[in-house]
Amino acid sequence: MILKKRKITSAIALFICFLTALWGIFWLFFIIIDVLRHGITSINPSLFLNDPAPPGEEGGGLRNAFVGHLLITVFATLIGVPVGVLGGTFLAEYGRKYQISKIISTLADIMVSVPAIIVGAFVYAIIVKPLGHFSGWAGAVSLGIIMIPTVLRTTENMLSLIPWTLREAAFALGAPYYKVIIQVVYRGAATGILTGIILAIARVTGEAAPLLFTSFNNTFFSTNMNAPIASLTVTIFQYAMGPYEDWHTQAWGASLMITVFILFATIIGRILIKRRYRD
Amino acid sequence: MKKQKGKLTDIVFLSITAFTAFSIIAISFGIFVVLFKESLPAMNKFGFEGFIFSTEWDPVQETFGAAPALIGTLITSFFALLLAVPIATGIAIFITEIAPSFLKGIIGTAIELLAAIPSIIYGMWGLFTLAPIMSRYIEPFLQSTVGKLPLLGKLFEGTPLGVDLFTASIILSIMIIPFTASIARDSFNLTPSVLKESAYAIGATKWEVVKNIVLPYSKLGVLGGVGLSLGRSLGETMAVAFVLGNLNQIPTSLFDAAATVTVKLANEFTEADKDIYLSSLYYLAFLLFIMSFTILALAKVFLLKAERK
Amino acid sequence: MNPEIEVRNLNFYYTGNIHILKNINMTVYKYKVTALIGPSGCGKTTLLRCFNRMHDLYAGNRYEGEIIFQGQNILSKDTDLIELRSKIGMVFQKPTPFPMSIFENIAYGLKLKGIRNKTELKQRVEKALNNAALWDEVKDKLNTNAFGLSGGQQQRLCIARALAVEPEIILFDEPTSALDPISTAKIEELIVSLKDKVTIIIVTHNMQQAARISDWTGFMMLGELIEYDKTDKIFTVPSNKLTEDYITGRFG
Repeated sequence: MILKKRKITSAIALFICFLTALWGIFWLFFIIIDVLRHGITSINPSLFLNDPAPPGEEGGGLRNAFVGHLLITVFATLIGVPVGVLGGTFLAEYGRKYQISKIISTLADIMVSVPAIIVGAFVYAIIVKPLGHFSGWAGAVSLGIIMIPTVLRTTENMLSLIPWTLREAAFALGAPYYKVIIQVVYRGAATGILTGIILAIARVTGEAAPLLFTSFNNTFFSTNMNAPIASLTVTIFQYAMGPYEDWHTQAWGASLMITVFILFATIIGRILIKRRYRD
Repeated sequence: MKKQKGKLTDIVFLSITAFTAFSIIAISFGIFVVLFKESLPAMNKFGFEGFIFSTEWDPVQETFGAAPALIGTLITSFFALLLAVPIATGIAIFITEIAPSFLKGIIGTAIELLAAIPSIIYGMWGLFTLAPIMSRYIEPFLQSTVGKLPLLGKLFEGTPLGVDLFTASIILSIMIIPFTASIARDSFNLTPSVLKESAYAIGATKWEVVKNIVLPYSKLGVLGGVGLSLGRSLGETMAVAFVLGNLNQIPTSLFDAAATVTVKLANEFTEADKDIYLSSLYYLAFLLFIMSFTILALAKVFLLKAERK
Repeated sequence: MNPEIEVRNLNFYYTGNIHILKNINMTVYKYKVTALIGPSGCGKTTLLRCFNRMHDLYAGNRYEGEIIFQGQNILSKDTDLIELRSKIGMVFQKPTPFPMSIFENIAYGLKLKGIRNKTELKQRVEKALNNAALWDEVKDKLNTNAFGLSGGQQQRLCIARALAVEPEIILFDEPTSALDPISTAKIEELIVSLKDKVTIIIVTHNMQQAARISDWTGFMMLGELIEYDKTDKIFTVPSNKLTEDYITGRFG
């Protein structure tokens, strides 16, 4: 009798857990399909080839935002990735035996989750205010700062996975440490580090808050990083909050592009990681 | 000769990598110092208690208070966690104990994808899809059912416009589910198989093993995960900015518009024309930084303790 | 001598159709200690875990043949595993105290069976701890965390936990290999003392331990039961050359 009750309780409880998994998957599909549905109608050449039309007029595009976003992201990557990879290298290699490395590692973990808008406010104070104007550089720096802790931690983790004996074998052959790192350890961890980089890029591509008061926005086409520059995410924010149907449609188009890019990058990253472990 | 050159390169490489590693300290410290410095004028004018307990936010009169924003931040995060944690725990249990191996990977990937969707997309979807559904169907339904109850009903008063605390909390909860689920899953996986087998060997059902063994064993890890999720949700901006309304008032009902520190910053930062206005915003940002940093640090301590087991 | 459990033509396959146990036939007798010995990888633990269907926890494992216990084939799909495991208990190689107090650890199996009466729980916990020779050492700290006990004490706790539900059989999987010599001796003493209450099957990689405490011994190699006989006979005049080689230390 009691046994039966326990079994039924177990079945019900586990079924509820199954339902929660369905809940998660439901939202995933709902959101993705919705973005697809709304965005697909606005995917046309004009979105990519035209710059924004004056407010109220139809027919504009987001060419400036795509280009601006690309520029900001590229420069953010150039700032964030080298610092992150080299920093992670220190923690996993030269700095392995020092207590401070554990502290930096923990601090980096915390910084990964710190509000992105705070980074924006920080960069505003140290770059935008002194210079007196918004700029693409400030935006790139904010995104770069957000990338650093993420890339640093994944690099550190990937390097730590390489067994110490591999390094010993290289040392035994007479190689100096930096050569051991670059020629042996990096080689072994390359896929993992690359994945970390891809995922970090995917993450900052979707950021809007840190750009709101650093690169700001620009309704015109520009490649001048020393002035306000357009970005997809900030434009989405402004267009979505605006009154025009046309703006909303374009915002969806941009959203679709960003979502596709990020999901694509995330999936590639996961596949790379899985393949690495299979070897 | 060659040995000297190698050694020199080594020192150079070590210095470069050390320098970049220390940048983490520089950045964290820098953020703290800069935010503090920018907040000083507002700190001097309003003090601490004067600022966090005041509900005024008047750019014209130049009086600013943090209460509505702080409370809004805490309430949205609280509700989001309330919804997300049980569901995320259920998902983690499903992945670790129930799902057959082929499903484990698929559900795991689905959760990762949910986590990868950027905040702004949640915002778009929230504003254009979820809010209308909320205002047309869900919220009136709740008002006519739970809203009629004596005490609980108070939470459901007001015009259900869809752009409110309720919708914002739901979106926030969906955002933090994957994060919490992933950490919970890792914590559950740390439970030694031998311990679970001992429980099965005594005749426990699968649910009893989860409830009596896995969950207590993973307590620290799950708590750490919840803390991390709380830290993250405190700092969420875009998802909430679309659907909260940025109304500077302390909400009394789930269907009220409200404000959070992040939404305020997003909407008003570039509008702040006076120094004291901007300084007050920085003061808010500083408080938010301290709050989220502390919670994240505590959560990390829990997680480290859990790993050490 | 009463047969307690009979193994007939048992074959076992791990996930991926890996044939681990080959045609095992043996009878385990009631209120006796039966030991399974053999070199690493011979399948003795695999065989032990068939008795309480532990392999079912992991997908892809397959049994062939029968194990008859209380008139039924416990390998059949109809067998209620929860009930089976309350009749056939197990003690593992590493001590596995649950994250609860000492009292709650022992009471766990009883509470699962629905026993709520506080007096009865107290009585049965005390009885189990006495039978496991642990009562005197923990009677003043029943509400403290079980992790505070030493390794040997934790293992006796696990034995008490298994005893509390009063099973017919207890399976021991190398119970002393993680313990120091003194704790080992105490546990061996304990196992011998339990003989009159419960049937015991023990897997051990320590031959001398088998010789010391068991009544029947089965020698296994590469998944086959090479020889199964009274312990005295196995260790003095084994019938099979392989057994003899193992006993005399020529391999393993």
